Amino acid sequence: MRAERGRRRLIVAGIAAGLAIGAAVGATTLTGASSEVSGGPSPVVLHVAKVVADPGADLELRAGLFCPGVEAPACEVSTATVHVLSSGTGGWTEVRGEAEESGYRFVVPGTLVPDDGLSYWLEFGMREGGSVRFPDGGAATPFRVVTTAGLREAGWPGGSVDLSSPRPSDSTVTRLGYGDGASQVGRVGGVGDEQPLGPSSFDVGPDGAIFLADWAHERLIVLSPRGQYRRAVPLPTRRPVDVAVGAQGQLAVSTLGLGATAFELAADGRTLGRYRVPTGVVERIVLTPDGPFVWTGPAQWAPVRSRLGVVMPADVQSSSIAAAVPARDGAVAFSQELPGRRIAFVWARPDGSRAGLVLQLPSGVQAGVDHFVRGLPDGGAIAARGLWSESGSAVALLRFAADGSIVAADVIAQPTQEMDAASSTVRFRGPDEVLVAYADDRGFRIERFEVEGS
Amino acid sequence: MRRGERSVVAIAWLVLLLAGLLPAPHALATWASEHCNGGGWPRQTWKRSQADNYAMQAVGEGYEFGGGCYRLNGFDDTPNTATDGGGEGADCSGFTFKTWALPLSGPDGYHFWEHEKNIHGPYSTWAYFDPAPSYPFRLISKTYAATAFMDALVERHSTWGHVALIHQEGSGGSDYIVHARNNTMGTELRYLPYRGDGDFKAVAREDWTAECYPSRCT
Repeated sequence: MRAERGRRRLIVAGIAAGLAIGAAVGATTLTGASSEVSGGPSPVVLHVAKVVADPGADLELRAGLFCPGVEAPACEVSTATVHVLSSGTGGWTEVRGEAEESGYRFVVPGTLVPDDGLSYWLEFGMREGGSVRFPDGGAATPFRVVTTAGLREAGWPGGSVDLSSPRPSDSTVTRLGYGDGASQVGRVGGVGDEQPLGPSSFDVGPDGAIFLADWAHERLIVLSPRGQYRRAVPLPTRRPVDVAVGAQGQLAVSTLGLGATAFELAADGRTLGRYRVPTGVVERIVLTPDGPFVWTGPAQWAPVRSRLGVVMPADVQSSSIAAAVPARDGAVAFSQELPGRRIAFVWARPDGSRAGLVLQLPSGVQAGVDHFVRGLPDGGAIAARGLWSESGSAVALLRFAADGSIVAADVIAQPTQEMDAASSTVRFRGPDEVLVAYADDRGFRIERFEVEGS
Repeated sequence: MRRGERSVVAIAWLVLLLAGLLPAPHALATWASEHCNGGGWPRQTWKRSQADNYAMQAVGEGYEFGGGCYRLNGFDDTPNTATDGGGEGADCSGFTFKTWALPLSGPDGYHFWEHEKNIHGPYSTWAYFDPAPSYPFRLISKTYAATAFMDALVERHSTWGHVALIHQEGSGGSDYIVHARNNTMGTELRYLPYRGDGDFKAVAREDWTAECYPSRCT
């Protein structure tokens, strides 16, 4: 009888232990674990900012407001205004915006767009009181718009462009298979309705080395200029990132999208700074002589730190947004789409003077992704800009002379779309090379294109 | 205890422990089966702005291949669950189905589903990419002049496809996009160059209710 009771106790204890273990295992493996709550009540302004305008022509601006985690009434806008300060005028002019679609449309009349350009900032009056200014500093830190006055205008050489006949590359720099090996890269998704994601970005170091963000393995893979594996650098996050390499070999990476985090890293991967970015929708990061800036929207670059390791307060980040930022060598250059299928390319010559060109695209072809514009020692520039039509897409490689004229124009095949930092799929490598990322089911590769006329 | 009995008890312990290591009956339930009690009802009117508000509420939540259920708390409840493991979120085509309040089948009419309803709907990315004439959406030009917010951009490849909704139109072939991206990124708001990507087509839901409704549209 005693033995019988003992057996029963053993069996009951076994069942209890089994259920407890099973519940614990089941709870953790089948339902997952919660991450910390992200987002907050601060409105995010979604704006397509302008950095170039046609003088005398109406300037159209669009912006909307998004309040993560907040019910719609608390985020309702009662008035939307753009404040405009034209060069040579005495004060700010208010232009009311019209509600449309998911945001507001502002039309700055051409009379407020003189040759010397203008400054503007946006203000949203909230239905429940208060207002949202963008940039945060309002009149103290407006967006600055230059104009195309004085810039040369030209059409695409030859008059037409065939996006379906891209130029072949000059060589393949590297090929990396998918896998967990030292010189392989990770890739997720790619089945059913799940978009694939491979390496998320790459950048080129001052010596021509290639830094590839293999985020799936929480590392940067460093390749020699010829594409041979050198080493791996640990990443501080297992999320797709954009990567930038500084003039001294220092590194910066940023996660992408809302509520992003930017990091500064030593060359060996030690985290030197971690900076939250509450402003905008982050898609890129650059390392300027003044530290890292993140792209938070079209023509919106926000600094993220006050000094190394110290995050810049959110309102200061928003107040400090710049329409264009210098590359690691200190030179400023940019491009922007203009009405009528035109693109303005603007850069600073080594003597500090401004150069540029307004390119008229052929019929049916539209401006696509802005990859880069880089000024060159001879005063000219190289640019890579996406092109698209209803049925195709490619990337234009353009070489400009110091007077803005086009020296060479080519189209190359559209880069991979599995690289999450889409703008960073095409990179400049001095003095005359462009590196482009491609991918297919067999692996990832970087192709090299020499730019004529350099 | 006799030797035979001891063996029986030892075996019982072993079996029970092994059984216990298997997921308990309660734990076999997935996150979705435990948290997705939303409902749905026929919907005579559905504006783009209502769809946009519906879609944007899901930003920051998870992604689930074949799924459709969200718990709106601003984060992915099941970040470590396999993409088809019954976790939180819709996939891209299910997200579009719910955001557009599409019918389950033609005669049923448009239908609203709460975020918490775990339903994917009948349309895959193939359907959006190559819609049959009977479907309640159609392909349109993807120029900025032809599209409006809450139209979609869709691509389809041999093994995978993707469909994403325009939240706010941008420039240079890019737009502010809201979509159920994948199991890594979840459901997100991004500025992405889908419009300028040669693989994407634009697709539009039919029969949107005018924004001015029920007022008289001028």
